[in-house]
Amino acid sequence: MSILTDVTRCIGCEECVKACKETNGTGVDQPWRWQRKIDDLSATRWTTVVSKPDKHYVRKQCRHCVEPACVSVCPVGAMHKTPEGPVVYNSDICLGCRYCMMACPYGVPRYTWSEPVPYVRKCIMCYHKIKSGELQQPACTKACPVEATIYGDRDELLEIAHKRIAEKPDLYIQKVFGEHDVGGTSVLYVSDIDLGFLGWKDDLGEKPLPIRTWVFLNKVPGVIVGVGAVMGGVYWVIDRRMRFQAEAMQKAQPAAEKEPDGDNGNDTTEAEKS
Amino acid sequence: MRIRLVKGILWVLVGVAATVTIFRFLKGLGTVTALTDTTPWGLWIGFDVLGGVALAAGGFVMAACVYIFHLEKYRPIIRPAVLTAFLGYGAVIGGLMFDIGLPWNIWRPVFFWQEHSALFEVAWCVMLYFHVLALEFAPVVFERLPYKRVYKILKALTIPLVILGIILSTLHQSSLGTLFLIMPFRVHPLWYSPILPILFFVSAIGLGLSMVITESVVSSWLYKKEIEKDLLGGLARAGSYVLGLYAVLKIVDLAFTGKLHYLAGGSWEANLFIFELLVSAIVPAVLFAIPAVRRSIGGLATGAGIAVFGFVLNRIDVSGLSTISATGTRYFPSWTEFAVSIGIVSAAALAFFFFVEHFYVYEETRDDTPEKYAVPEPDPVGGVRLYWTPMASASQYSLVFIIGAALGFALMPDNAVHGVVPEQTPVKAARYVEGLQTKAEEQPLYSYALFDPNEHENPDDGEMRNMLLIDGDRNDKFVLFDHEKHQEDNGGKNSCGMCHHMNKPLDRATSCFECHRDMFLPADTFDHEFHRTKLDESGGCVQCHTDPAAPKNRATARQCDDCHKTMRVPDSFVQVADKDHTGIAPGYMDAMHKLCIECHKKKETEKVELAPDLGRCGACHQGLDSSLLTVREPYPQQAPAS
Repeated sequence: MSILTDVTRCIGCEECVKACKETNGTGVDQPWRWQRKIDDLSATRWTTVVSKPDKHYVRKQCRHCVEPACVSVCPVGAMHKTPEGPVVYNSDICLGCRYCMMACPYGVPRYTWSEPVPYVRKCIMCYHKIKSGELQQPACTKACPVEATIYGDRDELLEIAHKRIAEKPDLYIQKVFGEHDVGGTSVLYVSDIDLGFLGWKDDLGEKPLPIRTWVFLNKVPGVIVGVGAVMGGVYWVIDRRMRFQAEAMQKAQPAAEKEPDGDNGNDTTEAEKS
Repeated sequence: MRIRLVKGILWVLVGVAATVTIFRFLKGLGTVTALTDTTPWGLWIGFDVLGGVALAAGGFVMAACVYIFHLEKYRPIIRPAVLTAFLGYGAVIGGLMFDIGLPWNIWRPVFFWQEHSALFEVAWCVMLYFHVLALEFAPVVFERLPYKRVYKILKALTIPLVILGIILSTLHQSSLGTLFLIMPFRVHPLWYSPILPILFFVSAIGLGLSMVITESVVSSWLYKKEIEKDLLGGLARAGSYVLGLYAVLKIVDLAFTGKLHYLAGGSWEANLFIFELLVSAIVPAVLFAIPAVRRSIGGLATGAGIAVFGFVLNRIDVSGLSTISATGTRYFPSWTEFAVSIGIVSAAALAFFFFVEHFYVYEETRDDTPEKYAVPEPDPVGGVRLYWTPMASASQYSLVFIIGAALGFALMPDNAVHGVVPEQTPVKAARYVEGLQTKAEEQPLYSYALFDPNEHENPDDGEMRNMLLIDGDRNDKFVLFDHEKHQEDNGGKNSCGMCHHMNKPLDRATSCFECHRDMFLPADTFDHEFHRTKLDESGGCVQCHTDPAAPKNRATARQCDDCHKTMRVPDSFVQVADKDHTGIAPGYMDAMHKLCIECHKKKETEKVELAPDLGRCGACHQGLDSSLLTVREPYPQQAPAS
């Protein structure tokens, strides 16, 4: 399950936005303090159309990364990458840490800040409705009157995308946006303008983000064993040496006052005292 | 007295935070925080969680020194260090309960495993370490309780617990750095580093040592007790090595990743980075390296204080300030966020005092206990009952707590009671102008014009009136508004309530169109939805919006006449005025009388029955009064005003 959006075809009618809002029942857009603009992505607007100079319209939505940062950072697995492709959200186990919002390289997840019981909101590619057979394809791609955004298998869409940019090399930038970015995304774009503005940085690189964390996290068992062994060993060595020292001193001056033995002798006597 | 004053202030701060707590949980994060979708982590994560965990690092550092490395001379400060760590972690968990959206789900990581998440690991470590610290500190409590058996078991567990504590601390102190490894685009390159976890771990040790020094100085000041100067000097010496190592690591890391040029730019990030590195590591490391400084209390306090400030700043930088350049959003914590952060720290400090006063946290307090806490005898002569001291202070502290809570209520922003409301759309203020009222041809209507001395020299042109220039419908279209006339016509002084004081959300007065209802009734019967459905749902758009490159609006669409050749009846007033606005009638009345009615009449002669019998005047007009008119489709049916 993937989506291919062709920026050159989009006419900016926002039928996709309307269809998404109706299908997912997201509610009315309002000018809240915490969003950039009322027509930017928000908890009530899971996809939006960004207007760029010279009649360029770019649809913004969750990219459904192949190796999603949001999924890898969620401490409970409330964000979940389905085998079909879409990244879905389970509000039942979410604890609201908002790490997914911090981690997303595209800054997509939004929060229902106004609610006393808040949740994360983002495009889920109508996954549950397609799964149950209620929809054949996401509401947005179905609503598009000019087939600027289409739904299909990722490999097939990549093929279509490459064919399009090869056919009109003068028009398109020779790159399928999302083919390799941060390890690839399920939402692909072909365009005649650069789409770097969709992410936090113009070029996000091809390295999947979760690897950066995993480099350290896979050392956790090693650290547990290593630090445990070193600390235990150091304790044993020093403790043994000090005990011998104390014994030697005792032998040397048997008349002297008895030294407290071991490291906790001191405290035991205190306890008895009180 | 010193301690009572400090405690009183702390209780006020806790009181303020208590009020904020109520609104946080009743009205949600949006009401009490300044967080945004692009800055979802703020002060509570940066200071309370990241700073709090790092500040509590003294616990495991001191435990390692004393129990593992047998540096027996530091034994007197192990208890306060462990207590600080325990309370620090309590504060971290407290802060988290405020910050996370669904705090009742905080236990979920116990059962839902996600080992790829750094936060999952942090959650487990903090949870376990909090309990380890509780057990490490428990002997202090149990030695004063009569359960000798429990005390002995706890004592025997000390070494395994200390080792477990060191493992857990190593893991999560570094994992807090790992949290940010996944945000290479959000965190500014100066702070982003592949060795962030190592930097966090080393800095936690440095900060832990500085914090132990700071805390010893503060509590010796509060309780007027002798300071363990040579102990602290030793810690400071160790601190200078650790902080020096940290500074070297930071600079070498920048050099190796080729980021030194970012420092040269003179950007505010570069300045902040240099300042932070100076106060967190370099200055305190240099101070601690000077023997004279290590021997003076002032020197120790200064060095440690600077380091503590520097590292808290470091955590705030990494989690917040360094992301501004990427996200372009400015976030400054709201006062309620500050209040909660300060309140949590105050509560932790109060708990610290409680333990210090009731248990042997400091060794030297052991000797003078019995008479210190004795109940004073009632005055035998006067019969005056003296307050039992703890009771007297309890009532004083309750009072200041309530004062704090009341202060919190008083300062709470307007929206706190109802929860946060959407941003106000800007409304332009009304302006008084001189207007000229002239009689229109048709009575009793008037026409208004801005008074222009060049044009309106003759006073007979009309009557000069004071008028308002208002944007009544908030659509950037200003009109001359005759306030006096509206007042007169609607019943004088009693009519204010018709427009004002309606308590409408986001509004100060009723918009014009709410009374002048036909103002925005377009005399346009085009039903977009109907056409869309008829023309094969959405696929049909292109049948009217033929040019895919053009924005889809009325101007670029095909004209009604193109398809509906016979729509206009011969007698119609409706003219095709200009090609861009096909089919707009001069007004509702004209459209109705000359388009709808004509067509209905025609259809009736063809024996076609249409729902509203528009051929009959009475179908709309209930009388001669125009206010009794029924406004027909496509507008919502409305009953005639009674």
